[in-house]
Amino acid sequence: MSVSSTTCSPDAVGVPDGFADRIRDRLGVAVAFYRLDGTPVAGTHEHDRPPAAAPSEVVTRLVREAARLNEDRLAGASDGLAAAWPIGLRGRPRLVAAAELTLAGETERPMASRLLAAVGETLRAGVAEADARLQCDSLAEALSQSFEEISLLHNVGDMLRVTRPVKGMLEYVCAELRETTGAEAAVAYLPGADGEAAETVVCGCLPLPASDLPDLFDKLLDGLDAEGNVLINNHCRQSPSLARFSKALGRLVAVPVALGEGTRGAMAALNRPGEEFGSPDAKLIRSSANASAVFIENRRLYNELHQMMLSLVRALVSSVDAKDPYTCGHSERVAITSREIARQLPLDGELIEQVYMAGLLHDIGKIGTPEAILRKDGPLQPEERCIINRHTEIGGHILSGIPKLEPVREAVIHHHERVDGNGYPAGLKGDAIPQLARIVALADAFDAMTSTRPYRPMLPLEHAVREVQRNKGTQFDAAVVEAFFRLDLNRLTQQFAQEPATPCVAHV
Amino acid sequence: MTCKVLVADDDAYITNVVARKLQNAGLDVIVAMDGREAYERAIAERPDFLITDLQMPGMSGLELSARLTAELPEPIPTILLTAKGFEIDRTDTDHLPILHVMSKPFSPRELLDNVRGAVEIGALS
Repeated sequence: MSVSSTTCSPDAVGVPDGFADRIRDRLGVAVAFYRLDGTPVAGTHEHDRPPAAAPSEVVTRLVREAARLNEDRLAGASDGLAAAWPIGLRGRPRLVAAAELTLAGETERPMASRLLAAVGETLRAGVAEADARLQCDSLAEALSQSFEEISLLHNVGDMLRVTRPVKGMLEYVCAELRETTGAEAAVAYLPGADGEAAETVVCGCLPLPASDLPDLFDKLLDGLDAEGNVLINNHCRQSPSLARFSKALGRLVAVPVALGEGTRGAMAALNRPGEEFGSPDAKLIRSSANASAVFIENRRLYNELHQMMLSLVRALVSSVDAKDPYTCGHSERVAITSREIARQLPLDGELIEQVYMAGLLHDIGKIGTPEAILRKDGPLQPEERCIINRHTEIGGHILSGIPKLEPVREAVIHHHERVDGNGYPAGLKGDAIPQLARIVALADAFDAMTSTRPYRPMLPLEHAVREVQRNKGTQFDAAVVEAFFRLDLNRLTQQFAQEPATPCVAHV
Repeated sequence: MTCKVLVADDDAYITNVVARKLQNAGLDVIVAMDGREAYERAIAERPDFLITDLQMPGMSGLELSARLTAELPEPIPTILLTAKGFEIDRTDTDHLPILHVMSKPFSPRELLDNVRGAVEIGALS
């Protein structure tokens, strides 16, 4: 704990500012201060300067005695009275105050004696006050640091509730750790799984090249074998394992970040000029590292589940594609096109995910459409058209009862609505049609035009673009069309032509 | 010109921590231990910035800010400190120069950053 020296003289021996001044003003006595070895001390104020003349023999003697015995000394001579008071914070004498009064006659002696007693009292009170102020300052300092630590832990806790990328979370934690500990740099290091590059997040001024970090952390992790242990090293230069980094590293604290399946990363604070690292720093970093580990593991599990759900959805979708060879890959293309449009609009992250899902699932209701109709070459009879059109509502049925997919379900039901109200199944108009449905409607129509259909060959891109433009505001939502035209459509269609988005189920 | 900050809180440990943090950063600090004292010192000394507790004997932080805003020619930019979880109705603060509401325990460093940020913006405008 560093203690502010604002209330002490620069000598840090505990002469409070203006002390001698105050005694002179109040009691008319000149007090001088001496170190325990008897040499005079300079205060910060004008009148705290050591006396120009050398102290008298009796003062010199009293100062030595007061220093040795740690008690007040008083001595009288025929023409004077002198006193010395050992003073110091926390009861430890750091210096000796002394004063000498000259007597004009013996009658002044009792008065002089009372005066010196008063000086002694004033000194004691002043020292007690300075002592209290120092303690108060150091408590305020400790409290301030505790506040910082508590705020950090609160904030890190709050961060865990938010669905955010791991990197952003680690950047936040490192920035806070660096500020709170006062280290030169705070670093998080996550080794890559299966040969992937390690991820490092650095905050502050890194004392060594970033390329040295993997090596440094390998060495640190070697020293961190037990679960939840902490490495505090305030003398890195003397550690053989860290010899390579001896130029850059003085002190560090490192804690492991358990990443599951035996992999471990680490979090560290590097270098702190002026103050050694201690257990409060280590505990703070450990709490942050543990919170980060939980967060990273949760993100991993979340991603795994999300991927599994997408795989299940694709499996479901491919069962539709299997019924109709012409729609092979159609759902994935509509999903990708919808997502690109949504990004252009722009919609926020969650809606982009949902519109992708809606694109994948938009034709799921065709599971209930007879294959004879789906595969029919040539124009459909009105009643056949009617049966096909029911796929929107069948899709809605299939997806009912999944609360999380409700916006997706709405888009599936309404992806054949037109903004002029002439679509199906509900004949909704304009903004009454869910936004995701308006996006999927355009992506669906565009893919139908740019891929081969039973009843007609693939249309050239220019033709499809003209059709979309012609139907803007009647079939298609104007804002969606504008976002769509901001896409690089050549690139998009070429990408679809080169690599089918999903492997098609073989039609044997 | 140094920036003069009035810190008002009936908890000595809060005023101590805040005053110390601001003084170390080179700001002038006046401390008041209740709302009425804060009001009187603000009128007398015209601080550039106010950091006040919400709940204080004598006068609440909101009332303090409202009265100062009404009575002084220039509004005093203010940071309001509250006990954690004490929700503040934004309609009560909208018409007041309250820049930040910080819940206890707050980070003294963040508080200082907020004061500095506000003072710098003020210096530019």
